[in-house]
Amino acid sequence: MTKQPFDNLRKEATPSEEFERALWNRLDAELESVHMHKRAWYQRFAMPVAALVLVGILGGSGTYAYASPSVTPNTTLYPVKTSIEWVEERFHRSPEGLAGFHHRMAERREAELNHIDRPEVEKTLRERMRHRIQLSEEQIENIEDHPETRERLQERARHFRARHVDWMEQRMEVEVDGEQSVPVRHLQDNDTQHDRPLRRTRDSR
Amino acid sequence: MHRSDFEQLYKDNLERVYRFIYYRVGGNVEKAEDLTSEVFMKALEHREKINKERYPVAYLMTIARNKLKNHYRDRKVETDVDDLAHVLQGEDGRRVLEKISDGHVLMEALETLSKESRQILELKHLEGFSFKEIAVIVGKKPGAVRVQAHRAMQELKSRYD
Repeated sequence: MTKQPFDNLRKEATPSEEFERALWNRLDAELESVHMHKRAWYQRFAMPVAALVLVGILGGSGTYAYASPSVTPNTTLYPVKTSIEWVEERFHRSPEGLAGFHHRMAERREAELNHIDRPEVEKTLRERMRHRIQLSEEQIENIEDHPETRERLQERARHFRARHVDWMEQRMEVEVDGEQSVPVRHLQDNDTQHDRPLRRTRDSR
Repeated sequence: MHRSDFEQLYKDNLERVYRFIYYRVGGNVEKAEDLTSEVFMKALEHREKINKERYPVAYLMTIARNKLKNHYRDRKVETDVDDLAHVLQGEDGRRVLEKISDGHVLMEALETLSKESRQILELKHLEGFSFKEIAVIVGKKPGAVRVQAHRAMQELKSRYD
């Protein structure tokens, strides 16, 4: 007996090249999607780690500046706060992440409003809020794969915009009634000298 | 496990896994392809575990065995995977029988061997494993596998001729 019968059976049981190629393509696509998912997780970890490192470098004043809404544009620690925010923004890559980040920034500007008493500063913060909402809406437009997330973020953006519109209407009423003098100086890009992250965002996005 | 490592694992073992399954589903190409796909998808899922294995092929064969068991369980057939080798009778095996006449004789001769001898010959001569790899799969030393394969071949020859 030779090995010929075995060889014949082996030849019969050889997978086709078409099957080999198709299966590899399927596996490769799966590997790619797993890799992408994994990278997204790394990015999620990288962001808080980087923020912690930065806060650690800047020390207690950095932590305070970043966390406290009482650090407003007319305080000396405000550039520290906006710098940390600028770094934080760099770690978001996905449209969902960026939209969520802009919402958080809008919330922060809104919280700062409770700690100011100068109308021109209020206007600056309101404009920055509006800009963040606008940026988040642009990012929401780019979300394709997660309809539920998109819907949730859209709802949040609508909520912010409604609050901004309310403020605008109140302001107009005040101006018409003449009860309070509100500076009408419009916010220019050059006015945001303490808001470096905002200006760079406009350029880069 | 990097993409290139997994690709190498795939290239090295696709034919072996396919053949292992093919002979156990009676030469049904469609079923063999489906189950082979499932084996490698499962392997991809457990790629990090496979990466730590000294002999990844043994892990792949375990997945293949389990897939076959599930396949027959779903068809409500109680069976031993090793006893399934070369199921040439019946609907699934008809095509193979028609194509390979002397293959049928070989199958019958293999059926007369002990379960372990038959498995070693199949792994060596049909599925293309080395003695070292077979030793890992059957849990014996390579030298012992070599001797058993030699004796089994002699026995097969006497029955085949």
